[in-house]
Amino acid sequence: MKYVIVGNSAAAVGAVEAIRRNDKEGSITIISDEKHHVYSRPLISYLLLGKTDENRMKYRDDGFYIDNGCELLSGKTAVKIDPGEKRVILDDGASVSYDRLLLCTGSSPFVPPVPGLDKVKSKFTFTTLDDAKALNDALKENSRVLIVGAGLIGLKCAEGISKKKVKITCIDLAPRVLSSILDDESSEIVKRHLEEHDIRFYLNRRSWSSKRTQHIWAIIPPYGSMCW
Amino acid sequence: MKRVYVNEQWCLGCHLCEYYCAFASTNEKDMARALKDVKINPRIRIEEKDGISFAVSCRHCDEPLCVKSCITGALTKVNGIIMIDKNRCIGCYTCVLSCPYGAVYPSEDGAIQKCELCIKTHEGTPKCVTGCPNGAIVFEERGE
Repeated sequence: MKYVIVGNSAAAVGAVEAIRRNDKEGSITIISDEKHHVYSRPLISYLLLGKTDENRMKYRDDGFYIDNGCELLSGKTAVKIDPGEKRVILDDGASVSYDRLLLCTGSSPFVPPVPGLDKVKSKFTFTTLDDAKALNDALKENSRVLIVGAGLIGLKCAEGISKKKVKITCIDLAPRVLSSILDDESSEIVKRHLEEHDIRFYLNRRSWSSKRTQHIWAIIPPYGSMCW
Repeated sequence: MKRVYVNEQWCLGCHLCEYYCAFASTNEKDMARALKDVKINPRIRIEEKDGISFAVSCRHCDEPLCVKSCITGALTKVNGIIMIDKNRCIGCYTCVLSCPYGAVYPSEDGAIQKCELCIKTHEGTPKCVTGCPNGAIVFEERGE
């Protein structure tokens, strides 16, 4: 049996371990566009905070793939699936055949269509380790950071960089922070707490011209659609 | 596996289990010297209301929500015991929120702490059990 897994995070690890409990012989190929050992994505904000490091972010030890007889194709993107031929086509033109295919790629950030956004020099999303590293490299003392979206990812990003000497502003279309999970009262408590850490909020903002943000950092979290 | 159980009809609400728990991790010989003027932060807590009291500590659940919710992999179940790797824990407290018994606590060092049946500090019966003056806390196999 040939197993192919597209994605290399928590679900992929769970799948590998479940497969090996039932099938010790079949081949397992993992395809991931990230060039990293399996790591915990929710920890990227804690990495920026200095509470963890890349080694401790690993979900499994270094021998995980070898011990479980997996071939890891990292840095490769699955661009097409041919279900008739049972093949996954990669971005470099190679293909991988399968008997069983698992797609567990996780979520992708949605960047809302904002006129002029392409002119913003430094903009980031915040879901992967590479996102966090790129953001960290770009931050300098007194950098002004605009976070678009006061949802879970936007606020985790704010928390992650809050100890650095940067000025953080967070905007959201919704009238309160964490609007998808908190009511008015509890949201206000969280907002007050964050403001005590010098994070500024502009809520209930329906539009925001990117012309005004050309000279500040703009970060677009996945749930940014509500912000524009 | 053996677990800590509480017979609430025998619990006097004396809180000694909390002190034995705190004492167990101090490496001191004398409890009074170890805990004098110390505000203890035990892994077992007495809950009491309307004349009823009982001690609550980790149940080492078969389906542990704390382990499932841990974003770092710091909480794992090893031989039936839910263990904390403080080196990995980043103190997000998701486990504190998700434990249905309220048996996971923040610790002084920023990581979380919970009952690990004293296996990191000494062999044998957990200190809360041996220290209970009324036999209300027991360490036994109940096949659950």
